[in-house]
Amino acid sequence: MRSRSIPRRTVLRGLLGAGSVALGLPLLEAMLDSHGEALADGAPLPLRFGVWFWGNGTQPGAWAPQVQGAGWEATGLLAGLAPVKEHVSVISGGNLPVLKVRNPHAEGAVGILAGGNPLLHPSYNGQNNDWDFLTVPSASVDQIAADHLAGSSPFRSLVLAITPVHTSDAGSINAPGTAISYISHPAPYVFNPPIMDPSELFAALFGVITPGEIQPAALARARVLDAIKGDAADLRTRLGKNDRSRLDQHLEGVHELQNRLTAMVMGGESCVMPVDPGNPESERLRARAMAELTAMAFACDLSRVVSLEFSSPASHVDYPDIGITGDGLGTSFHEYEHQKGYDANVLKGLGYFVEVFGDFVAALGAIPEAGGTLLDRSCIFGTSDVAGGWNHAMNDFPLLVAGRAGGALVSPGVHVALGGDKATRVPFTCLKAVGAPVTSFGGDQLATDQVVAELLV
Amino acid sequence: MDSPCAAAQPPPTPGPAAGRRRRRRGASARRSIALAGLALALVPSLACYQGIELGGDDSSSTSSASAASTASGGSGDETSGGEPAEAPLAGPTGLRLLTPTQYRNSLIDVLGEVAAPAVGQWRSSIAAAQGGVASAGVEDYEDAAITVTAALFADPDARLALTGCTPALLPGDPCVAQVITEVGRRAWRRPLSAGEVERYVDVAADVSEILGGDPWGGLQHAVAGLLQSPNFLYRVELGTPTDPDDPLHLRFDGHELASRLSYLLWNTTPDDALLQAAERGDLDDPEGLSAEVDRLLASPRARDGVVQLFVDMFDLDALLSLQKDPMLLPAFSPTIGPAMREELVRVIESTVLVEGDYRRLFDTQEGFVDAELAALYGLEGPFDDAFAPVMLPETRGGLLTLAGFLAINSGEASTSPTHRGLTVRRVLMCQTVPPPPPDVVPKLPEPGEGGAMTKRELLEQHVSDPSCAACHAFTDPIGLALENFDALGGFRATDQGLPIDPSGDFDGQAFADAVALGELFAAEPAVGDCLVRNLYRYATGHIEQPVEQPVISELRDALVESDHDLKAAVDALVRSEGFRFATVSPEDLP
Repeated sequence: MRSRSIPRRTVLRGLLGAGSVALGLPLLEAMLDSHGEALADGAPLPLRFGVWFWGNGTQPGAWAPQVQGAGWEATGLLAGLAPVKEHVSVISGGNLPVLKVRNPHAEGAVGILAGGNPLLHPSYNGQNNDWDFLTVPSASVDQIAADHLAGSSPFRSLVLAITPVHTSDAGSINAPGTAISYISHPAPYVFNPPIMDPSELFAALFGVITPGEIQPAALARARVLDAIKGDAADLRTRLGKNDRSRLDQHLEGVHELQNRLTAMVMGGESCVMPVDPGNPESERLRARAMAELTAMAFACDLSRVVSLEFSSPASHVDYPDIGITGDGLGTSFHEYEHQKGYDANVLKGLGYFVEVFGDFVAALGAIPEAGGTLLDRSCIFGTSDVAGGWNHAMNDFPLLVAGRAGGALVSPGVHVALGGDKATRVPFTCLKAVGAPVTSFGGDQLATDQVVAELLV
Repeated sequence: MDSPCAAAQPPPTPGPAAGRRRRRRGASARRSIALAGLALALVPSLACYQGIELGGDDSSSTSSASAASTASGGSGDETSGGEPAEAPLAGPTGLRLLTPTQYRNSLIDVLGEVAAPAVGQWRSSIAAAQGGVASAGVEDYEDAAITVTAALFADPDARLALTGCTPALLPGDPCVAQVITEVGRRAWRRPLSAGEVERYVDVAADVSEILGGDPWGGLQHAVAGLLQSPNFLYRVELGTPTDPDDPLHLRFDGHELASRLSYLLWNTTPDDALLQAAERGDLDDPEGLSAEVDRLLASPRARDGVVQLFVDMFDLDALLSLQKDPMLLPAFSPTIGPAMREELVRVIESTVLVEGDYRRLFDTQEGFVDAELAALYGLEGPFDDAFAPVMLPETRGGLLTLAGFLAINSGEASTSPTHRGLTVRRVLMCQTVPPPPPDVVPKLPEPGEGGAMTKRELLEQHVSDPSCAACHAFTDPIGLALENFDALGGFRATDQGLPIDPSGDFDGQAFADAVALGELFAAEPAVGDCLVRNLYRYATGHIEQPVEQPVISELRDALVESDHDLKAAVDALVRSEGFRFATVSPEDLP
């Protein structure tokens, strides 16, 4: 878990105009045009992209509803979607043909989110477990979306986690891997460390609001970053290929921070100052708090992309909210499922993951925007690391798509049976739905250039 | 696909308090996933241990190989200036991010006593040589640099102690350039170019203006910039071609060697004396490097610096977040893991650094305890929060029997002999045990109908399957010798009410118990081989490649000839081509 001090920045300083702020008051109606359909500067309202991830999959075979199309039934493992059913499409029969040469949880997570096979660090020599040495071969789908969507929004993407990730950092001895712990990767061996405390996310997004002009303190900090860029440009000429890409990645972070320090934020009609939610003990309430803050970040156009890791690949945690804890049940959901298979407790957990995904969808659906809701301008992709955790099955992968992506996706949501075709078609479809200028997704045996046409209007 | 082959897993355990896992973070979670995947399965005809498959040499392909065998040499052809006549025996180099500890130490050594946070995402030497920084990391570095310098510059005495002058930012004012030159040299581990100084003088001037005419504020931001620069956050040890026409073979200059040396032995940025030695050219030949090794090792700062090698190697920071089941292991407390770490650090210091013999780490009778650890060990006497040296109980002796080592290589509730044996084979002996095939699902052994069974009985029943036997025969005897110690490292005579038999066979040598195993371990050549391998990896930030094997052999010989004094191996290391030179892969040329 990362723990960092609250930045003393002033992200919303441009948002307020003159005057004071009271919690819960609408901020920025004046900044929308008179129809509420565009930002005040005439720019169209943005689209948003999200990944919502949980570990250890579902029960293959029991995932698919009976009925295809809009009449799919929210029962069984999908019962938790009933409140948001009209906004969600369920995809069954999608297969992820991983190579089965590495840890399956890492292979699956990398396969579905980055569309490729894990890279194995060259230092791996068999003396450790391979999962500590695996990373993505290329950027994960949320970061591909951010390349297209982020624009000048202050946060290129929000990266969040709810239950403890597998490691506090990836740097155990000889262990440069990232894939078993983290799901948002701009590049190989680079991960976006998740914020795990809703209160910390609140502080980062809404922490210090200074009305009026851009503060000199922020300008001063931005000016310092110019020098960092100069140093990096000098250094770059001396580097080999590998270090050049590492340094370029670092510089992207410098650019993003400089943008944030100097940006004038353009909020939307529902942009209000939320209340600090604290850090609830319940994992489901933490996930809800994160969902609501994400929705407000979208509404205020602080960010347009989110990656939320409800649990890491392999689900090596407990879920006390539903009574799945160490008490008599082994030592984690992961181990418990390996021991017991699809018993009642495991099935309760698998349904619960989908239900908490539904909470996230509902949070976006609760915020009005341009005559609809945020959900109408989003594509949220829900998935996991394996189809079945018990035996590491990769067929009938859990795949969910929520939102209308500005009218690109069908409404109401449908059930589509892929009939054994590649699961990577779904993240590709979500990228296309939000207008990302990509012609394919992934590589090697997982590559696809085929959308799931039934999901698109 | 299921498999009958499984590791010795703790059976389901009743009764921990609900919600305790909520507190579990980081390394303790890593422990659990490590335990979960320890099923070992091999085809029956295959022996388990295959030797080091990548980057290995013959020195440890059998654990009883003679460590004193003659090295194959490799640097005997040097010219008097330290240049190898042939292509150097050296591996790759590149940018190495500071680890969080290095970041904190360096910040303090650049600025003076400040409340410096430990920022960074990559803890180990090898991970930091490859890992990258995402935007949240950039933010953390920026926030730390601004926060720390703001606090420092808010204190008129502290800022004057750093700068030695008062900035005016008027034309011809020498103060700002002077501060940037001096702070920059410490932070970047080399002199700044005129252009670089000017870049930061401009920052100071512009920021002063932005802040409404605040020369101190301008200078503070310039210093904060020096500390966010890639020249500070990364160790820029890139080397220079030995021959202008050959970009593939590099040597490190004096400043780069000062950086390598300082982080190796003090885990921080070079001090002024080391930078001066670099500027005089003293580090350009092995004798000069060796003299600095003596100086650095003689300093009290070498203690934490050198111990960091073992923190990396044994993953000792896992003890900082140790989590055990308090219902089954009532001696557990949130403070006992850090106490165990402190004991291990002191034992390492006492054996490896003070006594100067790595072998003693495995058979020493000395321990260090505070009141909590004393209670765990069953030691009587007045103990308090301070750590005191003690004679260990006769059931213990050496690293394998110390609580910290036992605790981090166990589950939260129960021991795993297979896991402990694997750690010994992999981490302490650098031996290769194949990971389980990807399809294997680890399954807990269920005690038979007859009732309780010890781990030994469970495992014996289990490894009667020949597909499992090869690897378990390699790992389990070591772990079963440690069964007298529970998952927290407390002594126990029985398991499930049944007596524990700690005797066994270690690579053909019979032993009676864990203490006797430690004595065999102290005499085991592969243990010293593995130490110098880890030293080399730690110093260079990469796993040795075949071309570097002769260097590893030199280090091993130096260790053996000095009666296993790590300092002798360090001296051989800094003199070696692997430390002073680098080789570029043609594919990495820009």
